[in-house]
Amino acid sequence: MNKIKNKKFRWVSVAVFALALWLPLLQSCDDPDLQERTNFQELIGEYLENNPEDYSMLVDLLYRAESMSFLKAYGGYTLLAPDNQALSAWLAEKGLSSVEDVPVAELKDLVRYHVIRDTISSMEFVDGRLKTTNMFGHYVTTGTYYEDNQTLVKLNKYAPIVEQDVRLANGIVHRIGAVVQPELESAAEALDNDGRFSIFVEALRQTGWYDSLHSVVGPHTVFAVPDAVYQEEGFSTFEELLEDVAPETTNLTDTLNDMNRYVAYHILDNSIRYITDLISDRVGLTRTHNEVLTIRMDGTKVLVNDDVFAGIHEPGFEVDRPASDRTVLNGVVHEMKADFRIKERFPFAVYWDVAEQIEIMKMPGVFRRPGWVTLANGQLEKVRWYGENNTISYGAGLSGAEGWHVYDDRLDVNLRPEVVQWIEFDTPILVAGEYKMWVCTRNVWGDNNRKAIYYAYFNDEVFPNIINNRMTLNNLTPEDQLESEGFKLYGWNPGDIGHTREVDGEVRNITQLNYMDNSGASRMTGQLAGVVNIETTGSHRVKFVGITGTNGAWFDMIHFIPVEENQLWPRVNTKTGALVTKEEINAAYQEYAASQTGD
Amino acid sequence: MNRFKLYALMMIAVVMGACSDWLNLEPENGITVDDFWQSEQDVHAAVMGCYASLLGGSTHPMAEAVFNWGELRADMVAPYRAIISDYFQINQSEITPDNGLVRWNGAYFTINLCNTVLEKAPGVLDVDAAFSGEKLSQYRGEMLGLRALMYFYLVRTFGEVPLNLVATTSDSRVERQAKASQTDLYNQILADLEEAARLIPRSYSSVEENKGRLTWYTIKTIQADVYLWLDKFDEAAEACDAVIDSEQFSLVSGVDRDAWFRRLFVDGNSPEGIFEIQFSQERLNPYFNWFSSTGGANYRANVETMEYLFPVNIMALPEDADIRSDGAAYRSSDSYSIWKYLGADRFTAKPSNEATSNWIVYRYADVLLMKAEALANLNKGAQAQELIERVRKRGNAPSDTRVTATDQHSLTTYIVDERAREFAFEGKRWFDLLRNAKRNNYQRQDLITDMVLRSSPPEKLESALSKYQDPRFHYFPIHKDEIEAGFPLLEQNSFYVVSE
Repeated sequence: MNKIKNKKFRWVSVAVFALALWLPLLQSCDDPDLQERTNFQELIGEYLENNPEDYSMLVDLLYRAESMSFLKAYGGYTLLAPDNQALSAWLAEKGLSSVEDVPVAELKDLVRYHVIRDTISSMEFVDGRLKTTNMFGHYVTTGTYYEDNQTLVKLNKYAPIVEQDVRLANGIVHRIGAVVQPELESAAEALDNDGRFSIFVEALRQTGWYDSLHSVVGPHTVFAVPDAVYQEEGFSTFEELLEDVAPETTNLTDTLNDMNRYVAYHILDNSIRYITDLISDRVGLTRTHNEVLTIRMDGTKVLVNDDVFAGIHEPGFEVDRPASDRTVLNGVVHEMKADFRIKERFPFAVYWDVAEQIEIMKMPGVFRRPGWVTLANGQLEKVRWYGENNTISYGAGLSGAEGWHVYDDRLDVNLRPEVVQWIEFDTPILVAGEYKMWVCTRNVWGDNNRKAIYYAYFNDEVFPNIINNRMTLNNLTPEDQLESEGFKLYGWNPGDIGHTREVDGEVRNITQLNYMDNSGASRMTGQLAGVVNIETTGSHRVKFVGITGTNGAWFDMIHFIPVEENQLWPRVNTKTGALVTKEEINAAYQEYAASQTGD
Repeated sequence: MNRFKLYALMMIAVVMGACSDWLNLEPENGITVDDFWQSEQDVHAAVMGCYASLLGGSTHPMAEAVFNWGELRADMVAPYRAIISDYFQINQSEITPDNGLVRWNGAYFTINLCNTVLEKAPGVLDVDAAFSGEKLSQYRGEMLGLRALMYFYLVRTFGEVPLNLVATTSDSRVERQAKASQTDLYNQILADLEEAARLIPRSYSSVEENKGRLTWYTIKTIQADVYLWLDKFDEAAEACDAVIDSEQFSLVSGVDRDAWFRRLFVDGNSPEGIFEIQFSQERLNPYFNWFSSTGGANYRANVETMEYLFPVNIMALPEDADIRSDGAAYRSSDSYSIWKYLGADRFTAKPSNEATSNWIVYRYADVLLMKAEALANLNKGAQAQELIERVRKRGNAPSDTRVTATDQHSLTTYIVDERAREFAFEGKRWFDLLRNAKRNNYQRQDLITDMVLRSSPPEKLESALSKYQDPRFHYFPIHKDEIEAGFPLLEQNSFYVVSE
């Protein structure tokens, strides 16, 4: 190959020299290095032709499939190039002796399967799909394997890369040791023909999902459960599974039927997600109405529905990663090591302390200890805000305001159009249902202090109420009147128990004062953002978008309380974070009053 | 005192002007060699220049390579905002021969200068009557020791490298060389260290020189390290004892955690320091800019590893924490910056013009823990525990990181972890992991697996685990420029050769 190149080069220089002799006569100021082509770098097609010992069969194939022309034109391609050995093996497997014996249409599909309209170097290979589909429309997967003291990269788990990253003028060639077979089976067929999924396939058939996975374009992402796993879990036939999943059922094709919902929960909603996609998505919407599943990585394990729910860790179900990421005609199939089911959940109130961010909690000497720290954008996994260089602060303790924030801490955000235009939080897991959302902040009355005023959004939908941190409350106004105006007192400071206030010459105790000292009540304000109908169980996004204000917003809590539940009680004990009822405070007050009179 | 630094600066100017960046061997035809080697001062300046060459004069000087080679493959650092693509690729386990961080020209630059002194200095005896044979021997000891240290870094990083013991003082002597085997390299390193130990002084005239130049104690410390790599535990323990029994070094007290941080890292050249690459106002270190979050740092501490090494106890009081954790190795409230080179104290950062922290190549705690490692492999677990405890006690290490077992397996994990706590971001981590993992035919591959789990991005995790099973991948590729220059003798590490 080197020889050929050198010869060509010498010829060129002779030609250029000859030309140069003539040029002064014609046009003396012309560039003597005039060449017909912009460069002499090889194109992919030329490279293949220049290396017949490796690629002669591929060259034949490309000409026969009428595909050589674009590989000899400028552009940006990645060619997965089966060498002569690979193609011979492929032909032998088909029982054919030459490329000529393969129908042109099949060859064209084969070529489309090996060409990607993108330049993808080995540097960009991940443990999963390539970033761009091939011209056939499928993703080819890559993976690195250590076998027989050799590290190998394989495409679709079987075609080894023999030589990688041959860079040419119009793209990259990866030489491969086996032909990548186009995946022409649908998800349903692939599972059916595999033979290891008879129970799951039967479930697909009975519920009508087989047809969807067979004839619908999708793309589908299927979490298939092998028979072996069902057997381990005590089901050796579909009937036994049915008995467990949906015992009182007749019409399995009804989408509200438990068996149908069970099957649909194993299929993602019209999207193609390989394992690496799922890991970065962390959540997938299933075909069961409004049900999601979550994906988490724990060490090398990939787990479905490994969640902390209402403070309790629910162990997840492992995906068989080596067997997963199987491309099919209309999607991708993953394989489970354990089966998972839909969790029936009912809406419940979430009293969310927004300062409870795992990264802050892990800072020793910071979390819930007096002082302020600055947080850079990107430092918190579940909080994002505008401006890469903007910071927010976490603060605990504060002279003059002690005791009324829950745990005495809060996030301070310069929320206004000139600084942090917006801030967005990922919520804890919320069960599908209808909730009122309360934004609980420390406010300062009036416009003098210029506290922030802002919109609240839930999953990018704006709430009707504007949150105004210049509004404060009064411990004399009846609670139900406050609620009707969209406000509430959300905390109970045990330190307030002995506080009294004289009203019209009459001394009132704390149980007669909305259970809060007025200096707390005039600051710590829960404001109703509005009602939100959460359709899918899972983590959602709450966003605040600044309107005005030069003084930051101090976020303490956000409450999501089902609409049919009491919005005002229980409150949150600001010292312990525990929920506390009116009755408990009354009892505590009786005890306190008794101890006072006992003196 | 400033004579030392002045010479260093002068020499680096001479040397930098002279070098052409061709091959790994720098010809010196640019300077008038004949005018130079005339007096003892010239020899002294040349020796100082060898140390100065650690700081600069090549595209990848040793002062940078010590961090890059010792930390970037491992799990202590994580990418941050101003991520550099060379590091990004290493973090993704996508290491290729065109990665700038695998350049070794800094090491060979220093090696060539050492070789030059070794070759030229004897001639000065003839022209300068004041220059004594005894003096010459001392310089010779320093040069042999420094050269051995360079080869020790190279052999740990690349596995096999060319062994060049002849000065390249003119273009005509530039040679293409094949790689020497690990055995040959280690034999040369040990021989050089042995000779150096016979010749080199135990101290010089100032603290800066005692810490900034090699001494007999440094040679013993390097020997201990080399013996550990060769699994010669008796010899390693013996070399450590030579340093310990000399009573020339002590641990900087950790009772006052602020004073400890300042003395050991900010001021440097402490009673604990054995060999430190010297930085000063005239020559600032490169680390500050790499780690400072104000400029958009290249690296930050890997939170997962920090939490593994220093488990968080929310209820513990700050004063009960390990003094080496938050506020020393890293600072969580400063986006987990690598605080060791940034802090003026535990809470405030230095201004960038005070980036004078030395690079500590070896310190006394290292000797104690190296001896512990040797003893752990000699079935003397109880004695090893005593040494580890000394280091932990100074560090106020809480009981939740204590291991009481005395068997080789548990102690290996314990020592590797303890070294990570003690020498966080001091360029030791990858070497510690590799040395302990590869012992007894890769009995502790799990150390590397755990490292990959903590540091690899999830989409590359499986690939990284597969690659790290291949021992050839534990050594860097030779940079492609070196391969081209050394063609056809210099062969690439076969892991990085992808073809039939």
